Amino acid sequence: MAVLELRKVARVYRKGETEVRALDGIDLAVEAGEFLAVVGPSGSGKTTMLNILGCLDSPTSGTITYDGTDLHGLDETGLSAYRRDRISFVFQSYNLVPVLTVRENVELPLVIEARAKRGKKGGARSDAEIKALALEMIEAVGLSGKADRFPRELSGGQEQRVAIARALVKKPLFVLADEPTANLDSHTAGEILDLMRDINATMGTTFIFSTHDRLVMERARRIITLHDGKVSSDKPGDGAAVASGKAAEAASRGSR
Amino acid sequence: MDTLWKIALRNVQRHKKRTIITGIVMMVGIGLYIGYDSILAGMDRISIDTMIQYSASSLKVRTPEYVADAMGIPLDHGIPDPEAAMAAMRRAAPELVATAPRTLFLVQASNYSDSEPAMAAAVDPVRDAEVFAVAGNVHDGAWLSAEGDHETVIPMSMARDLGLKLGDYILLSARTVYDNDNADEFRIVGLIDDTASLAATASIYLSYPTARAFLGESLPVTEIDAAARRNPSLDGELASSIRSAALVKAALPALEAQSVGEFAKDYLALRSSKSKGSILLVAMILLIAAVGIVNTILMSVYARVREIGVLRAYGMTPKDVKKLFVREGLITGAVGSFAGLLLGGGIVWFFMDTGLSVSKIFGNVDLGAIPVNAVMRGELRPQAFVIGFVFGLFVSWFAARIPAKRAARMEPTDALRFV
Repeated sequence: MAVLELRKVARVYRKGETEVRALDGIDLAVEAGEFLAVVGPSGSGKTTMLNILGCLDSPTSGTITYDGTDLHGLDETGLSAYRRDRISFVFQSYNLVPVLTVRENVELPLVIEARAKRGKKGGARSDAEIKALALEMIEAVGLSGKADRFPRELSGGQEQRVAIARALVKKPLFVLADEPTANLDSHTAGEILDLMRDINATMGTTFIFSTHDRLVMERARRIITLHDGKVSSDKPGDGAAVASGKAAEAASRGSR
Repeated sequence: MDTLWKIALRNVQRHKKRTIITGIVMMVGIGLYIGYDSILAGMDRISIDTMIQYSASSLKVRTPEYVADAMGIPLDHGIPDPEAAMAAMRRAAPELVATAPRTLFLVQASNYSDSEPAMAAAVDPVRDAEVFAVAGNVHDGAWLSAEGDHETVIPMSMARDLGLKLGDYILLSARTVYDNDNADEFRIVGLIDDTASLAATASIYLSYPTARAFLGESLPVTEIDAAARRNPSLDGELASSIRSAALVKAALPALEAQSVGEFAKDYLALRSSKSKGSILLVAMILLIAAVGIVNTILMSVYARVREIGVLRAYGMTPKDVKKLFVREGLITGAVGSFAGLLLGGGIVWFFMDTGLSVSKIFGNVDLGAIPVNAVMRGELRPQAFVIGFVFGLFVSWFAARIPAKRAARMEPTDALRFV
């Protein structure tokens, strides 16, 4: 079953008299546990698509359904809440908060969630729970012993591992990764991508990449190519060959 | 610690230079305000103390008829049984430590060729010295003695004008209790340094026996002056005087008891406008600090656009983003305000401990209520510290809201630039 569906999604920007159709009637269905790459030349609509998938922007027309919930018409507060609960991000330049330690950076999504849920039904996680979850995730990305370091004390690869831990700590439905390997050397990039693929396989988290990187495309199990705001191709990637049944199984377990 | 406070605090620590520069402006603003307030209070203290020590005393008791005709300096509205009244005053108002009788009258002082008008006072030399400071300002010679006959103490400036010196005789003429004029010679036994007592009501002093021999044996006591226990703060001093006046009024309903505050009404009104002026001064300095805070936080917002994007992407609400930057402004403001308290404390300490000579600041300019030979001292006013700190925090909070709102309005799509 598709956990994410775009139907006839269009996004139109106006620049003075000019109308730019960044996305032009996109139809897309993403299954839980996918490891998917969105590729295409500059200006093809990748940024707009990721913004819409990440609930950072709303389509001009068309519908977007997450896990059975139609997000059409949600205001900024509603979109913020959906992002907070279901979606995580990994960025090209890591974007860790420089004044927070590794652990505090990883805790951040949980802290934001706890602030929002404080006093509400179901309650917020305690500080101790948040700390324990963060440490568990730091260990999962291989950074045990560096929890109290600040980002400036880490290598690029280590920073991206922290960003991945931060993205995964709240067990999101999706991780949207924007060129996550662009600032890394090929060896480190390979390691980071393998880590993401392992997490995809074991935890069933859905990964959607926006990328130009061959290493990502080699590992993606599905590649969507955009041209002028339209899907020009949607085919299995090289990674599909190595996909095991474990990912799908884990995805069905982890899907909310 | 709450994560928003943690991020705000660490960002302030991280950008030390920005924090220090803004903090210094705030420190100077608040420090100057506290210092200025203390000096103003100190000047007020000198002025009111001068009134207490030379003219109004802490509490003045007269008959209502005398008060109504006070400008005419009458001799016919004396206090009946002044000794009993003084005893009753001391009993009624425990804060009063001394009382003294006085009778004011107008004289013409002459050296037989030139003359000048003056205000004279018949005094009880011993008790007057317990209430007023005139006796302590005798520069040459001595203060009046209870036994001395036909002795007087006059100001140095008058002696200079009339070409008289210590031991010379001065001719005084005045209207007596019998409503006729009399003139007599008095030996100058003391010269008062009147630069210290410009505000003194009287300038020529005679003992009661001498004055009665001069103006008539029935010369009444027209006023009783009282000294109250010294209070460390001016406001306390004024309050004590008002309290004592109320108690004396209740004990002696036939007499009029006036606190020093009633004589200093005009001065105290001026004091309140001076205090408004000091608030205006600090407001202007803190306005500069506010611009500094707006700039500091705005720089912080622009330097951390991506961070804002990440926080928003992870679901932080615009309200929380705003809170984050407002807290940064508040921390910067708190640091500056605290430093301002220290600077202000230093200024206050200097003025309380050492002070500045009035003549060194203003030269020999006549400042009216402030004696030229006085040392300008500060007063410790805790409320100035509280006002300075709270005002500093308020300005920081208010100033930080402007860039914080801009940060909160930032669209996550603009802050995070997906490729």
